[in-house]
Amino acid sequence: MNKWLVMLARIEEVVAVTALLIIVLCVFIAAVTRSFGAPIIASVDIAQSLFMWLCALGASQTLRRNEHVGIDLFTRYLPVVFQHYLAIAVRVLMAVFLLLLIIYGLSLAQINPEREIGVLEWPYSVITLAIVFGAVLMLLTCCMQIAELIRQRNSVLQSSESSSHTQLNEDLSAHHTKSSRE
Amino acid sequence: MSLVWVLVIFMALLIVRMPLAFSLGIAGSSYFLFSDFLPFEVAVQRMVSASQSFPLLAVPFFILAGQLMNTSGITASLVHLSRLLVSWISGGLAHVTVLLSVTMGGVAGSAVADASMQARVLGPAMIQSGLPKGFSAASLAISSLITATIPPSIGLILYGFMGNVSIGQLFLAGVIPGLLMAVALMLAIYWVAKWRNFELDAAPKPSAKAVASALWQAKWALLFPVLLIVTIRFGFFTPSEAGAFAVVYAFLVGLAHKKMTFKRVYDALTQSVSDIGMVMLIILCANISAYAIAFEQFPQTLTEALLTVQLPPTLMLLAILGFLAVIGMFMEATVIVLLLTPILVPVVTQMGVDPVHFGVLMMIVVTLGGMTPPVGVAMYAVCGILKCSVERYVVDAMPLFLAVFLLVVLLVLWPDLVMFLPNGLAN
Repeated sequence: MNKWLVMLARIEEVVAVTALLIIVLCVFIAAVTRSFGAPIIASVDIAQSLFMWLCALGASQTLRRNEHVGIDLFTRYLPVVFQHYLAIAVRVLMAVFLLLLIIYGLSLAQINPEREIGVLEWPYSVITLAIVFGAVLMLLTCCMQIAELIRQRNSVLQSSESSSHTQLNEDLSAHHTKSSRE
Repeated sequence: MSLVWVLVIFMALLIVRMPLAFSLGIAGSSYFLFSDFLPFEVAVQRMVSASQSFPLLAVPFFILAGQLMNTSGITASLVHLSRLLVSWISGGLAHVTVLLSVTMGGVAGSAVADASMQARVLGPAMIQSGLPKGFSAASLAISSLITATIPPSIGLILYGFMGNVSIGQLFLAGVIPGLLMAVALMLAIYWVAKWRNFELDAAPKPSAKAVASALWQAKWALLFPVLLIVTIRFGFFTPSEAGAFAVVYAFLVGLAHKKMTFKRVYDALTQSVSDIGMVMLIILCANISAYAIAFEQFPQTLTEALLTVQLPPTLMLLAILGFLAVIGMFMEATVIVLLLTPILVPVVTQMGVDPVHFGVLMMIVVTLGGMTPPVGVAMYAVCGILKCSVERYVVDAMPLFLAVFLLVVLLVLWPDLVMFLPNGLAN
């Protein structure tokens, strides 16, 4: 199980990096050819459709590393146990939001199947589905993190005096980087 | 459901430590979920359509270019050059951090990244040379304000995207205020150093030969911002194309410096992908909330209300900037730009203020909020690295805040300072 997830993260990383490189090259080539009076219009369209995929996969990578910025100005003064349950609740709410994106994203992809991207003859749903795909990956990570937090619950209850929540969150992301190195 | 509820949900989510992107997304979505006639598909469509903006492609490009410039050894040569040029002036290394922000400003796009990088590279040496801790932290943090103004500034890209303002013009408009900011901060540092009589290990005046050699070493780094400004000014490239060009440029410089191994390039790429994912998810989710704001016709209502107040436009502009400065103390700059730009651009345009002029002013004021308590990301980053207390930071930062404040007033009263580059050459 864990091995598959590590592999999934790895594939996601390579695909995202490749998308980024293709986007750079496409826009660069389009700019150069345009200044020589022979623009390649399709290359900008390719870059633009890959951009949504880059955003979705990048957002998923960030969630995997637990690096989406938030504010702990208020929560850090709460009792550790309470912080722990709050962290679980926050991720459940995130999962609900991601689920909504998946359901309505699929519905959006079906609404107008004839629409095409610029001069490319690709269906526009190629772009819409990126958001669905990214949301599925993030939902998976979210569930993993919830499971991890529940598993850690007992140790948090025991050491509620000594450890702080910031530490716990670092443990959580450390666990993920560690598991992706294994 | 009214906008007030969207705002309440957003604040509540932030307080319980929901990540910023998701707070924006969920709060914006609630507007759709509780609406009788807005299908939720529109919310998803808003996220997708944000990614289809060509100007916004500049964001991933300049993030990647910044990472590659670090890999290519450009940063090191700029640190060396800045130290050589100004560390002998009264105030010593505090001047170096200002000059470094100017030269790095043409490479990296974010104030927080600039401040924490410089705190690591220069911070310990500053304290060792005899500068007080609080003053070192203050000059490191506040000088990064220059990075947010000089192109390429990620904040100005977002402002242009949300407010439908030309990003090329914004880039050009940021140049002179950024340089003036450097002059203002260096004057303030010089004055404080004389007044408080800092006893520093003085660096010798550099020889012309040493300066020439350092300049030569840093030539590719120094040439880049010039190329960026010239190509955009004369219309060779749009800002996004210039971004793609920047990536290729940074890569080639790295090759010339023999710094590009496969592993280092791959690391720069994966780090960029993660940074892009974080920033872009915030932007995509903010685009949902922006729809709610536009749908409620909030900017129109606000404009009508403000126009009934009979005040001269300059005073109104100062009042709006004061209001932004206060919000900036409590909220992160990116969020303010994403949420308030679509509201404020129609308002100031109606008042007769050029949205390009306003964009640069808004960027300075809002980013400054990151350098003040209670919520100041750049301040906490620098104070954390230097282990400096916030109280000492705030006291020592006062003269620098004053310098920035005076500069903002000057830029408000004299719009030509900002608008000279984008307009001037054409007239």
